[in-house]
Amino acid sequence: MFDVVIIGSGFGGAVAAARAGLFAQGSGRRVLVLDKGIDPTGRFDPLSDGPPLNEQGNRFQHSLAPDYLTELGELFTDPRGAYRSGVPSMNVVTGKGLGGGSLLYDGVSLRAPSLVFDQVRRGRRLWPAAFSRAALQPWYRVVEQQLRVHKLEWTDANVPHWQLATKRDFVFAEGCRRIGATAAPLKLATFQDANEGWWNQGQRFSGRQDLTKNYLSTAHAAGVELRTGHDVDTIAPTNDGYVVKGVDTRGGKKVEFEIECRVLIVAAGAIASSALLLRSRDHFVGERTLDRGDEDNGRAVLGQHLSSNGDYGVTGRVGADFERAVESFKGKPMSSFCPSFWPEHQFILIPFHAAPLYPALEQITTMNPPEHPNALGRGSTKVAERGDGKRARNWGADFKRQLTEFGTRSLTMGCLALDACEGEILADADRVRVQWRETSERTEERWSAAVDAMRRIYEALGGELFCDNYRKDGTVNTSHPLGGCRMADEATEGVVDPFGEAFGNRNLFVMDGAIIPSALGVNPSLTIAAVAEHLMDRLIRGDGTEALADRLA
Amino acid sequence: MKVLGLLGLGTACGVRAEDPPPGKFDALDPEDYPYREVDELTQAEATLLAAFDVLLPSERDAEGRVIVPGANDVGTLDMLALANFVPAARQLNLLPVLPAILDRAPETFDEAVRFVLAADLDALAFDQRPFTAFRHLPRELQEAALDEGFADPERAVGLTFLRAACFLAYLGGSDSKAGLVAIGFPPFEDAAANIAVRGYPRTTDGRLVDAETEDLAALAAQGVLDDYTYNLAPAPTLGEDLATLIDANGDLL
Repeated sequence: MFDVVIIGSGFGGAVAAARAGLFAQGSGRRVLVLDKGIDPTGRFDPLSDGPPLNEQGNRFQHSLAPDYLTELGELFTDPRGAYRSGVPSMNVVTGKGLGGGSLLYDGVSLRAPSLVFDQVRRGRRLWPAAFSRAALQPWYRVVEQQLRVHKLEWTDANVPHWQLATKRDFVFAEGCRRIGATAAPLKLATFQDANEGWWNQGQRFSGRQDLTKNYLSTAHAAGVELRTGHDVDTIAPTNDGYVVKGVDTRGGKKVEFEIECRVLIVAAGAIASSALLLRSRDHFVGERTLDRGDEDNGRAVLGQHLSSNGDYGVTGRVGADFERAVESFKGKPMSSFCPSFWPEHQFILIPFHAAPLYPALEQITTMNPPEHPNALGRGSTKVAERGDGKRARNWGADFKRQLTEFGTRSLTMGCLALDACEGEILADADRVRVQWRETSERTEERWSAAVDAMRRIYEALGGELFCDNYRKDGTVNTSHPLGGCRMADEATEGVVDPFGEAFGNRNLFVMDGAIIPSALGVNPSLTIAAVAEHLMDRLIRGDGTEALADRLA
Repeated sequence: MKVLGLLGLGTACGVRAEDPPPGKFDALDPEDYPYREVDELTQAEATLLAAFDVLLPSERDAEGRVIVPGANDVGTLDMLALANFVPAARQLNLLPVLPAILDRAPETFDEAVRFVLAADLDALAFDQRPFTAFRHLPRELQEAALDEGFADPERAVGLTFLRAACFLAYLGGSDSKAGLVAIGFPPFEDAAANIAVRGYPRTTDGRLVDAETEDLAALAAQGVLDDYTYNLAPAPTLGEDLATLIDANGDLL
């Protein structure tokens, strides 16, 4: 019997593990973290699988080898719209392993704008009344200290050289300027950065702060046990707590496990946490039902309200006459943004390094021009035709010659916007799926404005915007899923209350991106962690809810 | 058998480029890109190699030496092994559903898959020139066959896998780094340890520079500084005041 079990170790789970560990330290109470992935450090779970440790003391590689990447991330999709089928689809990429999404993230650490917390739908505030930018400010500061968040600069007049925006950002800023917008350096979770890039494959050298360097180290030092390879299948209530069932896959074996605990914190990420509750809901009946959606309207809440955070990526090229090379593969993968469109359209633009493999494979975008360059909206255009009436090839000698410009001329960018949470999560016995329903008018308006702005940036730099998969196939791609177990003041509106505790289920908490009730319009890691800090603080202090010590008494 | 046609193939057969030496691909010796002799290949493998060279061709000089590598110079046939391609298909959403049995498929299954994919290519070739194998078609008809295949939703899936194998091998930086270098990336600093670069700034010959103690401006003046940043502030945007959008901390208001 453990006192606290935490499923998942990303920006919610790692914070919960550190805080619960510090709370339990020296008290004889036992805290356990379960993660289905590997330990990239080799320090937390000596039984972890994974590639051998390298000279830098981690398991990260500069590689896009599929077997390596599947150790670090997962793809959730809608099978109906698989690759290039032309059927609208949704693809969600998430992190896997101790550190969760932080193993793959770009370190962008922006606080969510005030407007986000005040969104209203159907006459109701999306966020619980207790949440606002002002209320979260102290917790944002705590997380920023833990993650060593720095604001970057354009020049090293006032900061160390490692703290600068990249060449890619300078080119992007010039494009923004030419269309009357402004770019600013980002805040990143990085320290004494080697600027070697490759962050999306797990950063091998120093710099980007993933959660193994801070919260999980704190948890480990406080005596929290961290187990990898533990794939949780279901959870169920017991007389005095919960039982967690799953399979321990370490060492190439599959050993079933059952672990009991008093307090259970589900923090496996928006998709996996929601899917776990969906798979487990038959164990929660009567007063303990996990889904108390508005029964009069037949409206479920569990697995619903999935936001893509308005992610929309495109690739294009800068004109040959533009005097400076992009060299997007050098340095931090994200280090500037354009806030100019936020007041009117509620999106930001961010240039980023995308490994050339992905546009070459038509993941998210193509590397060919669209038939209608000015087309806007889902499925509004397709890849342009060549002179012979056939579609431009994404293979062959001409395409290969186009690829040779990738290092110097290609520029990938994307928007993050407020969407209307048009996605949903479905969990069958053996598979988790995501779906994107019809895009709302508001989301469509924001994405269209963003694509139009990005096209103008490319053209202002003498280049062109290539066709993207949303305009071609209607596919929504995101690496920032939010929602599925949304937090709300009322049980009919959400799965968990404003303390992160599941309605009707004492001592069952959800504490990750799954409870975020709306899109954030900025990279979400900082907000997920700040919300977890806030919830753990209130839980441990018993501020407005039963104190953790009393729950474990 | 259709499912077989969607999946990878090829046990290791030694078709792989060595990692390129520092610098450009100027008239490298063909010995740097060792092919097996054709008579060592099965017909199916030979057909697939012909398709790879259409999808992502090697570029050669008048003497036949590789100037810019293509799919067959970077180990594409190896990449198409089932053990590589099942995780790739899952990672890249190349197929809606992969039967779990493929995770346990023996290597001998690769050969069957290889055969089916090659048969698909030969069927496409038949439409261009009856009773002629794909590998024996002239280049323009091979291209036409692939054009037809990609335009047919059923055949496109198998071809998509062939194409994905080419790009995974070419741009994935896993076995060979030659493709990344060909598109403008610097050569890996340490290919054996799979280290692309230890960081920036560095000199053009690869030495890491201590930006806090060394004179970057002097290195730049000598033309030997290789940095990740221009270390320049962009020109201001007329009529826009960032202070109305973001706070002093750098966050949106």
